[in-house]
Amino acid sequence: MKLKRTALIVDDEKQIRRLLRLALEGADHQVFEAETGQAGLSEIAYRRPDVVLLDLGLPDMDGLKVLKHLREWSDVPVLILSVRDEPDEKVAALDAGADDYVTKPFDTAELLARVRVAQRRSLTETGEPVFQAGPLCVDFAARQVKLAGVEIKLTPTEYSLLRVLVQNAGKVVTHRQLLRTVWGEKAESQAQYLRVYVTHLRKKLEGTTDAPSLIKTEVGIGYRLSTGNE
Amino acid sequence: MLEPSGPRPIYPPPAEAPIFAPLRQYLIAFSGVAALTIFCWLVTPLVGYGAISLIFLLGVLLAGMILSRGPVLLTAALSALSWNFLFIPPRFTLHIEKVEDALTFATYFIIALTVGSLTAQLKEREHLSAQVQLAQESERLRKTLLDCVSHELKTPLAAIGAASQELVRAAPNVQNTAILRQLATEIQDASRRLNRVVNNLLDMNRLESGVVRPKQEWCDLRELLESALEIERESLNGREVRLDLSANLPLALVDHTLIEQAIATLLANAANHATGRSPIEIDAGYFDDRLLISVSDRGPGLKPELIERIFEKFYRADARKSGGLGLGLSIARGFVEAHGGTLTAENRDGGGARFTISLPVPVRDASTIESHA
Repeated sequence: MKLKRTALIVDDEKQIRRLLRLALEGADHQVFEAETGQAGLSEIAYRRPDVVLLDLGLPDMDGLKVLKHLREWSDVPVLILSVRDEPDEKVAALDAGADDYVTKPFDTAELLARVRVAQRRSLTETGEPVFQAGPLCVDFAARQVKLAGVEIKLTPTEYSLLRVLVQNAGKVVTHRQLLRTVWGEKAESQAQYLRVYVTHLRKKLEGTTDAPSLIKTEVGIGYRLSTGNE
Repeated sequence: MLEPSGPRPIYPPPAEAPIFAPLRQYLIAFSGVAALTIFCWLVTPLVGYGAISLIFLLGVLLAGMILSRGPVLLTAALSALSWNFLFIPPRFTLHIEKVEDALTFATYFIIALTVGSLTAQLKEREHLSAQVQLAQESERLRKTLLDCVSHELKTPLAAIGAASQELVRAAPNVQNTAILRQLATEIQDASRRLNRVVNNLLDMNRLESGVVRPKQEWCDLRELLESALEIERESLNGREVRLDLSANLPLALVDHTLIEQAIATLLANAANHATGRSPIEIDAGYFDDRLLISVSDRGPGLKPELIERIFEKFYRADARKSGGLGLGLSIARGFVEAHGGTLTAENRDGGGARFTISLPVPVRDASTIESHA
């Protein structure tokens, strides 16, 4: 028998916990709850959940602090679920190691899709040699990109940009994360590089199809590669 | 959410005014130098004119600490002139004979000007950084407040959204009525909470813009208390409430809705803090031309330094507990004050808190009303 996936909800609002439990149980998860940041941290250590839904406004400590503590010893996928919807807050959480950020009020179907995507991370990290999403096919071994079967020529920079997005397919990647991985630490503040190259990449990837945008802009935060099935 | 470090007034105090107004500063500079000159005149026979320059320098330093740049420079220039004219031989001329005197004078003049300008700069920088700090603090408070309001509004909205989406998903499976009922209840609870938050914000706004005018009618106090109890039945959650009303309670001329809400807030507050199965007690009566209504609990009571703060808007006694904007008591006080009354808090003998509404309102024996009717 396959073991159920486990999810931990860290939120101080009882009603939100009840409703999240209902939604996650409906999506075949076993659900645990914690009311405070401290309790959340010890539950994560004890239960080893497959995914954590973390609120930022906790009574005992800020959710961001919980996340930073947590990232010192665990790489469990973490989804931030918060009423705070300013880009700065989102970027801070994502840069601190959150896998995604959903604002309250949330759409349950979208939330569950993000939970699925966050958990899928481990699959790409284990080194699938070929990535396929809709018409896009990336062969990491051959450094080859195909769109609907037709090979697309990318410059080395465009390719590494696409690779980072593909490795995080379905998840938002912040400007800083992209700049650091593709151009190196010193380029972290050079957001204009990113805009130029994303525009190039989009032209090459989307110029030939009518498909909706593959690379989605998250205003003020970063980019997300659409996998078409989230 | 408010940080546990505790509440602060929402608006920062106005920036401190400079110690003295500009014109007065120049006057102080002038009279300071004059006083110093007289003093030096008196002590010159004892110390000689060379030491006088040090006394004048001290004066400039002192001026730098309390005055702004212009008056400090005036102090420096005036004392240089005074020293040269009155003390350096030949006296009563600006002429200097000895080379060493000229050197001392030049050095003195430069030091005085530099000190004056430096201390003034330092003070200006201090003033600026204090202002920046104040602005940052006020920005932080504004953000905290906004966070708190958006949390209180969006949390029930999120619950309503999630429950109704789940309801749509679950509805085709009509056999499972338990889940349908649970989801509907969730929506109900959340909309009640949302309603309370929105009403609180609107009431606060009404109070602040001064449009709350009590519509005073003759009210039966017992009826008023009972309807307040009915409003808070859920938050009382079965806790015993003891009513101690003086017999033949007269009718009171108050705004039914406003006073009812003030009492309901006190009840909810008492229910929140009462410990164990201790009852809540309500006393009401007419004493010394005032109608007094008090609500008492056997909770942990109030810290003496917080007794007035709990009535501040957006103050929450336990910021770590989620829920609530910290407006309830402040609105209740506003409603009572709109009647010309007072709402106060105190600790009871034997533990717990007591909140008392005191209204200077006309009362009338119930029987006289009936005879009029």
